[in-house]
Amino acid sequence: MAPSGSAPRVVVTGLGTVNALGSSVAEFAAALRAGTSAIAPVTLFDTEGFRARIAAQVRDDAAPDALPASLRRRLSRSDVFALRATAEALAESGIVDAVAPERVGIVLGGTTGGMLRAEECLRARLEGRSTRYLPDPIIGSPISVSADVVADVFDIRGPRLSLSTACSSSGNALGTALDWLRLGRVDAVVTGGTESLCRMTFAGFNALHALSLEPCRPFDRRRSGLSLGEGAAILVVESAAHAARRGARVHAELVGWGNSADAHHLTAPHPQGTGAILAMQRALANAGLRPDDVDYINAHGTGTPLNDAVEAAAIRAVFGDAAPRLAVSSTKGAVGHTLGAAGAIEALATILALRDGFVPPTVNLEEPEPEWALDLVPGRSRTATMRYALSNSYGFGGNNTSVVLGHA
Amino acid sequence: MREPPRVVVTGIGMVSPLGPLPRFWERLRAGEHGFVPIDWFDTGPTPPATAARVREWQPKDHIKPTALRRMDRFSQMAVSACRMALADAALAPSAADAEAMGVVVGCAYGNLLETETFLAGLMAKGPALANPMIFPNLVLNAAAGYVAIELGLRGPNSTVCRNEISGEAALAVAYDTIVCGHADVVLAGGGDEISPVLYHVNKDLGVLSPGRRRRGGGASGREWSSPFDSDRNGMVMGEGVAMLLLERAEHAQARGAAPYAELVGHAMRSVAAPTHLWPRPSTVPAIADELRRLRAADEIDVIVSCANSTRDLDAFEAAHLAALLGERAPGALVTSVKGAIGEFGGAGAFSVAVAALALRDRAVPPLAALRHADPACALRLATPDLPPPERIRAALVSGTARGGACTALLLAQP
Repeated sequence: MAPSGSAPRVVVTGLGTVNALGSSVAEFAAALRAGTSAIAPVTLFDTEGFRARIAAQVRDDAAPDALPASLRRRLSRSDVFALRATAEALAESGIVDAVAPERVGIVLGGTTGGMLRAEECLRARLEGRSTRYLPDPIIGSPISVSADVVADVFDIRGPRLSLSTACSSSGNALGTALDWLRLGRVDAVVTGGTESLCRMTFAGFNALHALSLEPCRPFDRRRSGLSLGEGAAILVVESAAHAARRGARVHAELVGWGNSADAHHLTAPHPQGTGAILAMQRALANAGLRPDDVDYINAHGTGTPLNDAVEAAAIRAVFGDAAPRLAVSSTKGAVGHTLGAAGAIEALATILALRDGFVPPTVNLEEPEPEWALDLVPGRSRTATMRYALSNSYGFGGNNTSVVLGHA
Repeated sequence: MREPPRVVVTGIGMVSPLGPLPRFWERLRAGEHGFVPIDWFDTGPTPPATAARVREWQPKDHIKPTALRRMDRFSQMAVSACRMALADAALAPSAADAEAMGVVVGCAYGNLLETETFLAGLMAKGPALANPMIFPNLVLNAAAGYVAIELGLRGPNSTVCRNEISGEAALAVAYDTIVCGHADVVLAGGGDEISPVLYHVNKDLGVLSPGRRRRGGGASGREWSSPFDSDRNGMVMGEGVAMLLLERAEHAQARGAAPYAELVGHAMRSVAAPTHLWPRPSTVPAIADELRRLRAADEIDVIVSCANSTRDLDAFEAAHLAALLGERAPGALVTSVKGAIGEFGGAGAFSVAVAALALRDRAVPPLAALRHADPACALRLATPDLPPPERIRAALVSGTARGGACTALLLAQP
């Protein structure tokens, strides 16, 4: 299932992010390299009654000043993150002046959209403080709205999609952007994902006993659950030829992707990791690469007992003899599990690793499970020159996505 | 570059306000509608409210009891529609080809009923009593996940959220999935369900028809959906899920399947619009150039429009379609399913199903509620008195969502 030989190469020419580690790509890169963790007590809403009360919350969460007040009032927290990350990515890429608006597409991932505000609206009704259903907040809650707002603010008039496959949402968004460019549907795509913390997901994971009471420790023997996070990451992608023609700075190559369904259980991964294996194999085939071409895997690595064990086994199954020389790390101990934005934020971490020549550490990992025999990069980053890397994202619904990125 | 693979529609399944196939199609062609009084939740003090609710659907006919207990209603609709589509296509997934079989579901909200239940419980009782059994069902892709689990489909799996055009967008993504070689077969389509909160949100927004206005008479007290009518005054909510089996043409041919139609291709563009409303008629999406590149674009005999009986969207559609077709297809007959099944996220999946059925049966379902065609709408509308067209070579499905995203899908004789 490899692409046809003449499929154009696709490159990343713009980067933007807002997350708990930083309000810009430069801040995020510095924090990743330093091995900082942003997981701390939640102040966004009252956590009374929750077992876990920590998350990687974005502190610098103001809407961009440049927007009209009427728009700023209507924005959800997810919209704000998406707008700020897009502003950074577009400014840096210079794509807006180089392409007609209808030749720029947008495809974003997310899972809860404007839920945080919808919750406040619903609470006001239940407590009798409001009799109206306040259309704006609830109609603003579907995940499609962030892409609508971003497209309107930045005059993006090509194809517009929002994908929601739980925690693999924005991995699938990146893959869809790659498909569009290979098919020649557009000249450039704004892609990535955005996610805001909200009570619904916090309560849901809390009720499932999936949240760690201390900052999560992916791949550690004592791992006991995940830590939620929030934020957005946006990439500008275009064909390599297009980027070269306009003299754009290339951060990395988007080389291939693969997606699969476990068809097993809505929340538990397949015990043999068949879906995760299939997604990685598909991504490599789609990229035209072999397992030993890969130097680094940014793992899904949530820190739940089951996910990390299955993912480690799946990596060993796909990479076989090449597995021990791979670097495998999870950035979730640093930036939290950002759900619908995770695929994009972690693809961004992978791009920075390739571009700047370092392996991001698995923050909070102290005692790796020895039987996995993987280089899980505990605690501290290290310098490395790498050619290709994989970013894994797995979600509820049994959804598995792997994205292959390459050094520019 | 080598010739891209062709994609055909070989199966259709649905849970709808007009029942399953073939009843849906018979009733739609006969001009029937699926609107009933809302008596299953409180719609407030205003006149009797109406919506198009799914009927003649027994989830247990399609889903085994152990699975049914866990599954939310929207997922049950999606799994049922997928099972019917596979049966219609006479395709039984086997372990051997399950990896090449994908699922793309389009919906605006998905499992709204349990989302409202979960949130109300959380607000009233606090997080300690939040229901861990419901929570996994609240992700937008729960339905697509359940379809994969129930049918054993291990290929690409996605969920598209794009308001009212989620269905068309899901089919566009599924088309690309096959053309890019990620899968041979994809079950694609979508829908949504009616929920009390969404009803009240739409009502507060003022997009629902406030009650039928008769010329020279008073209101009848019933909401009323009549796309392209000069007296139209809002949409009526509907629900349901339609899923189509898309298949690489060679794959269909190899197993001797008879396609309804070929999905020739699609175009997606967007225009400026408020996030909660439809675009103004003065804005035009740059779809014409994209459409012209598709084979059979000059052979459009039928258009299934997204027109939903709101002042804004129907005016936009009329202007957009007139500009899109110009002098190339002045005779194309324009219809819409929203006068029969109402408006909802993913409703466009039904438009695509209707286009495929129209091509197979050389029939165009009428705009049955139309009494006074909007003179501002320079289109050849499918009024009930018109005879069936002499031929249908190609059918266009046109969709525009709140927020300004637009799609055009082109289907043709296989």
